Amino acid sequence: MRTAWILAARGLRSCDGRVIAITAKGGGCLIESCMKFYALDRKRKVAGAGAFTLAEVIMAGAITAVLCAGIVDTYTLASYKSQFAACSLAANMQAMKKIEQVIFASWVPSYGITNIFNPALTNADPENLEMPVAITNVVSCTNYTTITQLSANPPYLMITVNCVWGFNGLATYTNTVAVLRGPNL
Amino acid sequence: MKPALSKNIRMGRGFTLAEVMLSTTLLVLVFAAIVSVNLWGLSMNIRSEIWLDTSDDSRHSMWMLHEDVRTAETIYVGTGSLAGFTNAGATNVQAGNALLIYASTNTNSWVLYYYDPTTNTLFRTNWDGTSVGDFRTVSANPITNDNYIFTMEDYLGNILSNATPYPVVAVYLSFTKLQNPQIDIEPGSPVDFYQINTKIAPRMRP
Repeated sequence: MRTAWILAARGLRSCDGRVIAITAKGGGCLIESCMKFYALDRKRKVAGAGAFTLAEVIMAGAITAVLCAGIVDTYTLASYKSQFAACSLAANMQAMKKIEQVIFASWVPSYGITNIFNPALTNADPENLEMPVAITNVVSCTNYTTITQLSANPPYLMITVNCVWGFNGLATYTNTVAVLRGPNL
Repeated sequence: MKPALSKNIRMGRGFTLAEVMLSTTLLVLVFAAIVSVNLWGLSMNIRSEIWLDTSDDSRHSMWMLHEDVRTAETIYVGTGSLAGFTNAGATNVQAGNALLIYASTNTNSWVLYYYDPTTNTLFRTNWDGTSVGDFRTVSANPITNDNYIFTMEDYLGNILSNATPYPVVAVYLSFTKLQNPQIDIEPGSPVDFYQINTKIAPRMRP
């Protein structure tokens, strides 16, 4: 009877829907109700419990591959964005550094002191972005400075520093810092 | 009926050696792939952490120094500690590992930045004239003493050899260790070089 329960649990039924009755006799199994047997939803059961079809395997593989690709892409994108943010902040600091130097130059129009218009201040200034590096991933940048007098009366000028930096050879970005400055008192 | 029944029974009892070996191999491959992707993700996470935390640290280190220098009335560079400050001298090269800042003409109130070689750390302390000021760590990252931290420069970037009350202050910090994640900056490490090199100009002018 134990075998009968197992078979019943597997869906072996008689053609009228009754669970077949099997008894153990002499170490073998005899089927008491001699009727036409078939496994209910046999194909589906075998496919679901025993093995997968090729189509199912390919589908599952494709879904797994898409998921893995998504995870890898997400990691890559997160790393890319964090590196970009660090580079951008470092570029901003480089531009600020140049601004601080230029803004310090004396400018007293009434006395003819015009150090701030010294051409040395507006030379292209190659630098490296100051961020953690490991030998090969140094990010270089160049500061371009322009000093423009916007008004003679009242006298004031605008100092602009463009820090141009390349990111992984993919693209070039520019961080711009500008200030308005009046003459020395 | 017999073949179907025997097949069912066979399938219910176990797998062949070939099936077991194949499924085990596949399982090992899948498991190795999962572990590899996770390790790779972890390394990417650490890299991102390095980028972002060092940027954050540098901003925190510099903003107070920027504020102090920009609002300074008089600035001296030299050597110093909590025990006292000695400026570089009026006719010497204006460089050192300590910076004394007076925010006004009142010299009883000051701010002092100094490098502590014991902890390899840059500290900031101040005195408001009546009570002990606060005592803050400017850079908690250990820094090297391979060059002067503070240098006074003119507007063209030349190091001054005479004291002036309104210099451009160049700051140089070269780190030996990151705080978060705790990574030593050395060859073979994920980071082998990290420094901050900036300039700050006081807004007060003659």
